Amino acid sequence: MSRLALQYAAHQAARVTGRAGGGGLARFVQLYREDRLMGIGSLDRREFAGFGRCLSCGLCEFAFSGPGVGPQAMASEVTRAFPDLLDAVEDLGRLEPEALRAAEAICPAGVPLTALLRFTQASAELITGSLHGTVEAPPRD
Amino acid sequence: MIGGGVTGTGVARDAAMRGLSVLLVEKDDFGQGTSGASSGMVHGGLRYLEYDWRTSQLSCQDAGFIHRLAGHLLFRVAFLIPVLDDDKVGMEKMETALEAYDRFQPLKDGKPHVRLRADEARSLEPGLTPRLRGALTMDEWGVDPFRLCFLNALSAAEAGATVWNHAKVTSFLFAGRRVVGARVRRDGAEHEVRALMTVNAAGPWNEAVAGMAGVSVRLRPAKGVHLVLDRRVTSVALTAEARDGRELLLVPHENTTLLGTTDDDFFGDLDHLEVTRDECAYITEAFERVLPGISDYRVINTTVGVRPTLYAWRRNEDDLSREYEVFDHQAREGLAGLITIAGGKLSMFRLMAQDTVDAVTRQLARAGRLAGQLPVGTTHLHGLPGVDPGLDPAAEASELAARHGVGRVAASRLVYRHGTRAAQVLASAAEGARVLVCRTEPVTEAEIRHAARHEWVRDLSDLERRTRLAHGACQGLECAGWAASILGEELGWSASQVADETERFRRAAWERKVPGLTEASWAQEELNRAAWAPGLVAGG
Repeated sequence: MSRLALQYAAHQAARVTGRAGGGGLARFVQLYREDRLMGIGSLDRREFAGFGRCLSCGLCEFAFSGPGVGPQAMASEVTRAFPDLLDAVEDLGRLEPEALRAAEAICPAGVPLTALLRFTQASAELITGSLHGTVEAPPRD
Repeated sequence: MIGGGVTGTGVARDAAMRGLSVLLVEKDDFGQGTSGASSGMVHGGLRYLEYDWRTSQLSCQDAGFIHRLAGHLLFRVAFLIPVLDDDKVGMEKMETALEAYDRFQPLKDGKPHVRLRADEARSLEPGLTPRLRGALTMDEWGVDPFRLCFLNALSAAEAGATVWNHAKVTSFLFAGRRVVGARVRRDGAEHEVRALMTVNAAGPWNEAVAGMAGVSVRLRPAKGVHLVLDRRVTSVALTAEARDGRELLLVPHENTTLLGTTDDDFFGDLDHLEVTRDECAYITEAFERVLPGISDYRVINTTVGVRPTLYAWRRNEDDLSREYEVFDHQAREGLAGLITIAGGKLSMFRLMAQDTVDAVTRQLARAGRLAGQLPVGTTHLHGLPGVDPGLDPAAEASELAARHGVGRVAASRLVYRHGTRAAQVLASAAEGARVLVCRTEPVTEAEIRHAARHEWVRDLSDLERRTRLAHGACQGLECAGWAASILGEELGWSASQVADETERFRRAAWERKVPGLTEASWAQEELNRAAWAPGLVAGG
């Protein structure tokens, strides 16, 4: 405890004299870019609970004729982990929101497929931008 | 070796790598007890800084060894520690601890902490409460605990050990005041196994196993419960203070999120653990305070286990030491041939195993059964099967996806589980076997056949632990039948065995899930079960 007390005194002194480090958001992005850990937009946060509603019932596949692995795989397989989202956009191919409208309308669980696609593609862009050093902070939408 | 958790498999690996002849016996499956119900974290030991910096240093050092030996199986977890107005520990005290912890982070290839203003933290995670004062980050490692146990067992086998899962020790064999082996029930038959030394690494069952030998090991078992959400719902892990002041964790773990854990004295039947709705509500309440709306997210599972904490009187469960102790029963009670390893935590398993095997070799040397210099532990120098420091998982996954026509995410997950051996799993399979059976993890038919042939899989639950099959939102409603039929082909099951196993697996998944269901997720489950009711959907 005494060593922590000394550390605490040093910490407070650094804060008072303005020598404290700590980093801020840009430092976080820099540290974790290689691990593909990025933030999430507030719009996506509002939609997020809906992303997990997929029943894997397959109805959406009947209403879909776009490229890639399709809406069911998008919802239940490839978008489950943030670090996988770069891989996910490869699996999804050049999918456009318009290709998902009919599938979204027929989904009995109400999965917001177009929002999920937007989140996936935007996150992948962020990760790519961060890996190339062109993004320093998550977006604040 | 009795016990196939992370400690037992770690001891088997260490002993086999020192050239000892080893039989590992696990009554259920690898990691099925405490290890698999853990938070799946290789913690460095921030909490020890309060009273013992040396333990923090040792803990971080061993976490570093585990990082190197488990390689691809570890993933980085960035914790965001939100500081609220009325938290027990304020911003400055918390940052002081993290500044101290930063000194040890390089030992485990960890990153230094970052201090964030409230607006910066909300920019990273906009769901955080408006009551946020600021936040600090802390770097740790996550791991698939089932796969870690299995790879330890596989490594032991590759070093010459014999490995039996689903084999239960029913009694010990004695020669005077010496344990000389055990009776083991396996596949309905009883085997007498002779051994110079027996190690009790049975975790919360330590007391019962020691009791069979007539010696005493005292634990204070503590029950821990987690909720599992269907996907990573945050990019960062979060800490939250529960109503009783305990600290809980939300961990983005592989492709799910774990919320937990409870920590309560446990006096019940270790083989029949149940999760209660109160325990789930306790966890959810803590995180609603930090991330409002978290109870709207989909719960797909709960986990429960019992920590084999060393006994202490008059202490709160959370304050009990996570230290371990090697019990030499010859020195303590005059019973030779038996060593117990008790207590500890997942992130110290390698060190615990090394100390245990040191005790084994010392007793063997005293008995004149080991001559010359005692063999030393080298587990920190050798990677687990499939681990290669030169492996670039992203490049490997990209190549596998292109070469074998599987999806990029599926290939990534395969590389995560198998490392450099992922290519063998796909290459050895027939062309059609690259199709996905579980479409939420995802898991291919090829991997199921590989697990049945090479990974000691005996039923669907074993398969789930090896591959994470049925770890997605449907919890096996979609894939369990198909997976059972593939497993049945490999293991020689009849059609009725396939049907029974499918039903058993689905029922068990449902019973685990029910206590965690909230009002919103009940409605989701009604839809889910209706969608997969026989006759409604092809294949259901």
